[in-house]
Amino acid sequence: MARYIGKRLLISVITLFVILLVLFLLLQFMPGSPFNDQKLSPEQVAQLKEKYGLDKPVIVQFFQYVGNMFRGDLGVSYALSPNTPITDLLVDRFPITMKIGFFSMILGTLAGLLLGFLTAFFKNKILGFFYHVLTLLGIAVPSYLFAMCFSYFLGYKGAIFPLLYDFRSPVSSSVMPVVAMSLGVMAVIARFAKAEASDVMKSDYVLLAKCQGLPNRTIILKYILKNSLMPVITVMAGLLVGLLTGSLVIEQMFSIPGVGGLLTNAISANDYSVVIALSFVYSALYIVVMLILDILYCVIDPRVRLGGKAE
Amino acid sequence: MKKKLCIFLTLLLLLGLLSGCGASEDLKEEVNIALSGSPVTIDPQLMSDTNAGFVGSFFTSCLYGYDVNKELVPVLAESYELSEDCLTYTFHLKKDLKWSDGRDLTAADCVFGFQRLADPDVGSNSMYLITDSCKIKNADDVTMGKIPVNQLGVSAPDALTFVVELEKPCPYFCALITMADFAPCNVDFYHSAGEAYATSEDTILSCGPYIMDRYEPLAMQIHFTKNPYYVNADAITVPGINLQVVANAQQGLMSYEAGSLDLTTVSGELTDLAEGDPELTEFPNASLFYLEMNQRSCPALQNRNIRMALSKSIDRDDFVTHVLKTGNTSVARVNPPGFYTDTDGSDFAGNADQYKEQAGYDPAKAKELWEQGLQEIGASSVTLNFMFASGNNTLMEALKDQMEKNLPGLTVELRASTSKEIMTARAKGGYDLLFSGWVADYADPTAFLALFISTGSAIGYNNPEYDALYEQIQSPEVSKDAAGRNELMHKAEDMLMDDAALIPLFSKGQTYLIRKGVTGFQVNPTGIGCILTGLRKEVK
Repeated sequence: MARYIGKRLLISVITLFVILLVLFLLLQFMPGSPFNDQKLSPEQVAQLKEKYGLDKPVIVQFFQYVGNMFRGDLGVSYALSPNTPITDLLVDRFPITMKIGFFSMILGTLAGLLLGFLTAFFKNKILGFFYHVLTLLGIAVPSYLFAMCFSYFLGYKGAIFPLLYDFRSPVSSSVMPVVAMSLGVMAVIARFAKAEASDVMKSDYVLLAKCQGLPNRTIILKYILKNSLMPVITVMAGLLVGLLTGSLVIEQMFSIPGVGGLLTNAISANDYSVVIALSFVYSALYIVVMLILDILYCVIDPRVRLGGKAE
Repeated sequence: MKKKLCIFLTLLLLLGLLSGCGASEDLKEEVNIALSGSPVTIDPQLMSDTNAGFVGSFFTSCLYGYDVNKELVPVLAESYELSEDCLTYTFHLKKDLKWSDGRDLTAADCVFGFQRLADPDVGSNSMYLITDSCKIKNADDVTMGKIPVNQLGVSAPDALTFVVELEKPCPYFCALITMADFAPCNVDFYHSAGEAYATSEDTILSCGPYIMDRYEPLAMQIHFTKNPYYVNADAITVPGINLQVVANAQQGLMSYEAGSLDLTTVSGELTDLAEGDPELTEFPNASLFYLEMNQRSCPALQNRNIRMALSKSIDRDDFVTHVLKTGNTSVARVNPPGFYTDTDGSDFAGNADQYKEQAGYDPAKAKELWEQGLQEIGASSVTLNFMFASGNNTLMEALKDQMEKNLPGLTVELRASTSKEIMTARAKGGYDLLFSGWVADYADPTAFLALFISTGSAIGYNNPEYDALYEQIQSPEVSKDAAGRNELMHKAEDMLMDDAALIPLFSKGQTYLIRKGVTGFQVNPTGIGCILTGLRKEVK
């Protein structure tokens, strides 16, 4: 077990290092610099490059950057917000992105579980119709289209919710983005929940429980729900990372001060340090969540740690 | 019991979700303004983008500024004296000036503000303002780090006197220092804030009409309350300002229609939706968008007839009306209209047809000049590599069509590029035509004329005669004679237009939707920053 975890950790660290190196080289080899102001003379651009250490050889810059990173220093922004530590930019933005992502996840999961399980338990035609329409829409339609519809009907026509994120009314101004982002989650969860619940309902142990005359409530709560939730949780992990890294379009649309817009702004401003730091944090987040999942699988399913030969 | 508790908690959650939907009375008195992007910084000396310049108007003040009529007026200064050689400005500050925390604002703060702008360790992108736009004594060496900042030509003999020494006369110096980059900076506060200076509302002081009470770097929302210590506090009646960054223009327009925003800029395709709206207000901007012609490495463009033919083949009015739409003005000269007053009180660039012969749309004349030019260079066709910033594809295709349609044998190859590629091409000359834009930093025609000197930003043009004329405009003798100087500036513009040094296209204005009841909003003559002393909001 310890050997397996150690091996996965080592692979994760190497992957992150390679990602960092590729990102660094890609941005370095592109022409130009973050100081693209036409009004600056070449001498003044050189002066600014020297100030930020961009005049040194690439390899020196890279190892300096990695060294600083180990000390928790992701560098400073050159162009987007000169001299501002990137950690400060992230500290300001991640809580908002996480808050919106977390609530979208909760809402989407609850609605998805409810829809999936109800459809599986009650084989009702009307319910089935709603299930199919909602899951199809949730999966096929991008969240920004829902956001546009909500903005038009609930924000503009109905004037119920603010169209832009406002720190003076953070809750009401988060409703539309949260609901728009949760619909995709709801659709995925609902499909998994329904499929798993249907499989479990057909299983031998549920049949046995029914034959033994156990009440329906006990069968549903103790056997069906419990056993169908396990695979759903693994799906949720991947969805959660996607939501926490922020939906770029949704954040742009509602002017939410999250991390979503920061990356594209940094790319258009050639702010290398912000691009590298954010891409690294995104990659790290995915790798860490996947690592935790792998370890959890290993704990739950002993076949995994025997070398992945499960049948 | 459990059920009741669940229902109660659900209701509580719903109430929480819906809370804040209605605005309180205090918030109704505030003016909500849309910003097209987050300011890069709130450190006045680091401000170099238009969003930062706009935000700076709310919490900074300079020695000079603009009143509601766009007239240059003293703000922190009471008056100034100029030495006989036009090289030393002695400003006398108003008495009892205060920072927003109540501490005294003195001439030493002005000195420190100017020194920070020049300090290479601060690394301001606006340092060219004191090395190129106007040359403060020792600014070159200070900005290059060759000598310490305390040798910059600024000093404070006493708390109310601030002296600036220049290396060359600068007749528009008072207009230049209206920019927030020249705002004072309190040395004690700056050192107490340390590296965190200007990174939050707690680490910045205000000497302007408002105090910033909410900000984080790259903020999407910035909030201000009235500054009781502002030198002209009586003129400020709006108690608070909420600046809301609107990343999606359509959402901004709907927000305005829904009543959440009082002022919003309108641009691009959305101008069609707002067309004819009585709340639509246009403000001119001291900007010029033009085509640079690389005469250094493109032999065809070294021919004057070919350059003039290209310029005369473009129907600017049609281009502005049908492609650019509201908020832009066609310009067929170097200086855009509406930002500088001539000797007789008229607009320096008020006559739109002054250079009709050189740049006015005339397809027949353009064709004639084109054929003459081709004959002179011994070619039957010309291919031009036209570089522009990505995102302007539609505009550039319209220009290409017009030029190719009117000039037989011309092929224009469009090359959409990133800003990085454009900067590299500028340095190496890897283009024939380049779509460029320039926004004046100060209200003086030299802001545009300086582009075309051989060391200027428009690198494709080189004319020693023009350089000599520009030197003359900047000389001490001419600086003292406003009328003579204006005349020479007209002469310089004539020279550029006669020589077809550029293909002027349009000036980009700012189009705002301003809610009925909100009055007195005005932008600076250059278009960077706004004037707040006249801003009023009527609350129903």
